[in-house]
Amino acid sequence: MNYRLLDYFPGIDTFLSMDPTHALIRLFLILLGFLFIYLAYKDILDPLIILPMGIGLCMVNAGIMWMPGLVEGTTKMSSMFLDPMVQTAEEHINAIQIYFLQPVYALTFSNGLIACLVFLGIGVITDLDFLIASPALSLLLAVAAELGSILTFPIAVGMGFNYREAAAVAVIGGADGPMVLFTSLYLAKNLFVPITIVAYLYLSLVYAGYPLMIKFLVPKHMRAVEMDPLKIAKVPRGEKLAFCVLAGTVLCLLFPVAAPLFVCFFLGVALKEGNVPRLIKVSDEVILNGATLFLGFTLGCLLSVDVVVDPKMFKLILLGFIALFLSGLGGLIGGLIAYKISGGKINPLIGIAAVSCVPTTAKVAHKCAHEVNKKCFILPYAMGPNVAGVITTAIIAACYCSIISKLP
Amino acid sequence: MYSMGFALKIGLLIYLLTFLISLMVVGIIVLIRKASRLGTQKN
Repeated sequence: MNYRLLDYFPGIDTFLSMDPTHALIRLFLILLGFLFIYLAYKDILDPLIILPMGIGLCMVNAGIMWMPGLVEGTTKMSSMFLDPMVQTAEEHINAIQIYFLQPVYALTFSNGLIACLVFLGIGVITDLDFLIASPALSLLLAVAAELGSILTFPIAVGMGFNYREAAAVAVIGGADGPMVLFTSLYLAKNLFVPITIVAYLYLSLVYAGYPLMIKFLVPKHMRAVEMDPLKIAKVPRGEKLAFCVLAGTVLCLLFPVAAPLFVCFFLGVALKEGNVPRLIKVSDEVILNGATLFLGFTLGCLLSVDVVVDPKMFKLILLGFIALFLSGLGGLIGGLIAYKISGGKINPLIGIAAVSCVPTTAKVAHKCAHEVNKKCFILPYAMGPNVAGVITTAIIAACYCSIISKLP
Repeated sequence: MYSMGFALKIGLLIYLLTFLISLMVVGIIVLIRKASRLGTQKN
């Protein structure tokens, strides 16, 4: 029997057997995982998603070994986590028995269920008060903040993506992770891993990036405009419930393609407004938290060497930045217009809250206003455009799915 | 094969659609509020 010492340590053996460039990228990804964990620990990136993603990223790239290939007698380098390349039913059944995360991937990722579960949880924590009290302002700001979702589409086409891929990337501008996941699974399954990872990375950076943008673009005296939270009209629960039933039904009628997302979001809102405490608790504490944990962890596990060496990855990183920058810019322009029209009564920062990403951008707007004026409390006002942003992003994602899927 | 100009037109069309559907959502909210107020007055 001729055993090598490295046979006992397949993780190191695969490192040494790899193409040197791939081995270096693998090492880079492990270090990137460490960096994510550190940044999440320091609260620079959103720990809710980035911490599990970092753990998955460093450990999946460390734990690569020789596994039996699909063709009998062959071997391939793979981890024991999951195999996203399986196609046939037989391969799925085999993979579920080998890879421990395969059931999560096959049953919740490849059909978009995980995005819908996160959306259900978002619905439960969504406050509709300001949206119902000032629907026109909220929704018009939200439309302005979709600039990135629209302009990134032709830019991505100009950079060599086909229409389906470009549309999937453009949805990053909506700043809504589950929506990006859903659209990329529907329109560009080949790119869903890099697109979703880029989207979540940037969404985590929103908390650090948008305040800089605000400081550059909005003068201090405008940021300091006070808005009295007590002036928001109290909306009866029945009205909010009626809104989510009617709006949900009409949107599902218009865009059956995105009906799973609409139904989950409005189901969450209905549970909250219908006052069903037990279901609210399970949707928020169990479903939302569980789905977020598996979303971050599985995305980290999917980020392997093959994904990173794809030349499209660098273009996606650039496009993700462009999309979120343009959306933030659109939101601020909308906010500044609202400030001018109202005669200086509306704080323009609520415009950036329209870039969806519930509730991060609303918190960013509030934080930036509170920094310059301690009496400024705009969070309840910012939640209106924030929630409206979820609705407009869902509409844009649905439009892309319906229109682009018909194009050649 | 893939034209940037055509993509821009599609993008603008989708923007217009989003704007119109948002107005429809505003309409739904206004209708619900009016109906709710009418109900309160009758009671």
